[in-house]
Amino acid sequence: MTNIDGDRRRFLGWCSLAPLMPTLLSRAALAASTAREHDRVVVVIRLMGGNDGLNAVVPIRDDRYYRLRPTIAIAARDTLRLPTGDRGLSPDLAAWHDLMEDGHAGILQGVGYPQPSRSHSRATEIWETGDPREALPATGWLGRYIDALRDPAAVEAIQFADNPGRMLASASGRDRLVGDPELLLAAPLQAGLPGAAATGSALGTVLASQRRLAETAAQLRRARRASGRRHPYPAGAFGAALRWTADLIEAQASPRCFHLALGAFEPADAPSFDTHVDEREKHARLYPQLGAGLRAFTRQLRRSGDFGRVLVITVSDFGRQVAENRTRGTDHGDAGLLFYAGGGIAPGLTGTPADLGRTTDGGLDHSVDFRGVYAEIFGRWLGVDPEPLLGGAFAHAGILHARA
Amino acid sequence: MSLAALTPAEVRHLLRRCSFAAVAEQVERLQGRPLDAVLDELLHEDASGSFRAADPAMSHREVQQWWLQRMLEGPGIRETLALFLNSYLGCASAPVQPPGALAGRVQTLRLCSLDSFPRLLQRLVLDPATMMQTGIDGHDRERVSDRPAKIVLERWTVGMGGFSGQDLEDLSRAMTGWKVPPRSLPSQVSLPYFDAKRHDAGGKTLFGESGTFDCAAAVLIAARRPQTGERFSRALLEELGVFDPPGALLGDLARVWRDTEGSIPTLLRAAVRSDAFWSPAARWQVIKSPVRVAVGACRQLGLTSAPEGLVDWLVATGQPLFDTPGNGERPWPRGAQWLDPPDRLARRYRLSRLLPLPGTLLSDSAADDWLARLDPAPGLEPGLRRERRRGSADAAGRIAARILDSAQYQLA
Repeated sequence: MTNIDGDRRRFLGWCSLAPLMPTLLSRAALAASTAREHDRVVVVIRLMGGNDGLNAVVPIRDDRYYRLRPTIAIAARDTLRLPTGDRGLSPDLAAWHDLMEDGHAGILQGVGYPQPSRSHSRATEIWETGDPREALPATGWLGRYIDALRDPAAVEAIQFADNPGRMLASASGRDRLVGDPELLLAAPLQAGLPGAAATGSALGTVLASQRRLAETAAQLRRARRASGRRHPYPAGAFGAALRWTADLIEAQASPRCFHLALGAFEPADAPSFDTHVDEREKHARLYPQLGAGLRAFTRQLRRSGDFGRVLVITVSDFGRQVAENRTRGTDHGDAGLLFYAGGGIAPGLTGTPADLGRTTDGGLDHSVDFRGVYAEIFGRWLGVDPEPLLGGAFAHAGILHARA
Repeated sequence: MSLAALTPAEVRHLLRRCSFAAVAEQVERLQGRPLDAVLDELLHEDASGSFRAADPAMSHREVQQWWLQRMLEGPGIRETLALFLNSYLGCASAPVQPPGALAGRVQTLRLCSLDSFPRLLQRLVLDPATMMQTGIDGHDRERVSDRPAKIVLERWTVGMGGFSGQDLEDLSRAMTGWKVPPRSLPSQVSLPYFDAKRHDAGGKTLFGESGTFDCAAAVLIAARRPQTGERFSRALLEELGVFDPPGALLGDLARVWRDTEGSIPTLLRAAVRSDAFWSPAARWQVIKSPVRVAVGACRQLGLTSAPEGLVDWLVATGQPLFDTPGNGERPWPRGAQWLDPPDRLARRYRLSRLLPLPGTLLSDSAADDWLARLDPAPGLEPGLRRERRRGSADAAGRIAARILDSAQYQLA
């Protein structure tokens, strides 16, 4: 085992306490208890593609894993120690491991849903709407929460990603997509427009869009001024989006929900979590961004006193097949992992570990329905009734601390 | 309005809706002439040109650049129709290898855009790039998949609910036997071939017609259905900015469809001759697609080659060339959807940075000159005239940029 951080005493202390973690109140959870509940924030990070859980939380005592993945398996000695003993964390997740040690992060195992789809577009729709039925709602699972909020004028959700996904899509139009904040801030906006006269016309539609753009730009400017930009983040679009998210939270801006993306399908050489080819290399580029980005994010918001009102989760289209393919990667599978972090979470590993003996067409069977995560966020984090928003009752997944 | 002699404003409206933009020289030439004569000229513009032939070895980006260039140089109506057809029929570039094969698909759309819609579908279904998208390639009598037939029925012809289970099953069987052979060179586009052994030559019944139809014959049966004509006519009217067509106009187009076996130019002519097309209340009510904004600006500025950054600008503004939403399952958005989220508008407002604009003051009436050339919707004049009065060496370029990056320029 490798302890990347080097602080062995603190590390072992965390490992010995880890089985008790769900019953202990973490420092972050203490912070959460003092946060204003109505200001709680949810940040969803989409791991673009379909993330392979088995090369993140590695079943180091299971021979089947090493037999089925002769070239891409991670040796037990290279993994980072986890309290369960039979699992090790990918060394690329060292920064995430630090966050888990500190009680700020966790990983939920075995996440999926019945009759899973292995199509990217279909699986994305299901995760974004929280609804696997054929007739999908037009709104996203968080978009429906936004619609239920009181202030009809405020911007309540921001997506820092180029693709206009449906996760934050709201009937009330209170979601904004900001692909590149710098570009938005630099947009030349016309002055002295005949806006009032153009209501209901195509010109009125363009001008209304321009007004929304100006409002979002103004929020971003205020947030940047308020934070002072003192905290270093990893280079690249993901780090920048995390920084903007933290700045807006620190500035007490109106958005409660954020949607970010890590990894991309384009250009062709950009790494994504769709790891059909050279999985280890792609993880080595992406996981450190996730860990280091969240570490910087946590540091900034802990210093500002806002971490207690923040919950971060990741989503991804699906997990991957247990067996590797012929191109040093893995193909589309079923159940996977969900990373989470924040001030009120149950840290460490949660959920049921993947059972390599329980598979369907090569993909891992799920043990936790992802809608149970959404239900828990609605019911215990955001304080709203999850049933009307999700169209049914789902057992909570257990990512939040008992006192969150 | 009088169809006997078009005013300059009417010519501009026609060009904005049927082509990419009103180009000053074209407006000058066409004004005062009858509508039918103007349409005759626009529909018969020379499409051959001196254009660089498509190279199958082109990368995805190069083939996007190639199509953009084609739209810049080609006849406005034909090129806009090809763009509309790409959207209406749906397109996903990811399965197409090599990407240069997409140029062949564009050429099919361009060549058939002034022909009959059913004949276009007959050709398109066996276009190599399209075959890779629909999955008809390798689909044989032993392994019949209903995916290609679903695409033909749901997206291209009668639409959801317009066909029976037997129609789907028998069209799927009729489409068996076609294959795109493996490429011997990565840059080669293989030509499809028909393997009779893989084809299901048994009897089939499609929309009540029985026979041993092959792929082309079966697609033609679905393509000639009245519902196909109704769906296509409505989409064409929307493309021309007629969003709530009166019943009489739909009836006219249904007759044209039946009498001409779905002639696209005759349908277009009937739509353009309608009162709904010329209604004063409908002027400036179309929010242009990014391609129409960009290509229109280039054509108005007389640019002979597409600026390098334009392909990326189209991706950033939500209209990557070829790819329609949902992996080719849906057409490109319309109207306000183009501006949702508003971030897209911020990206649109950077167009002027990509285009070469004159930096010196042309004349005292620079604002009026630019307004006439770039043809934005009304409302910009007072601000531009103030700009002119401030006067500086680069005022002309700044005025042009302000028009291009304005709300008014997004409208047609």
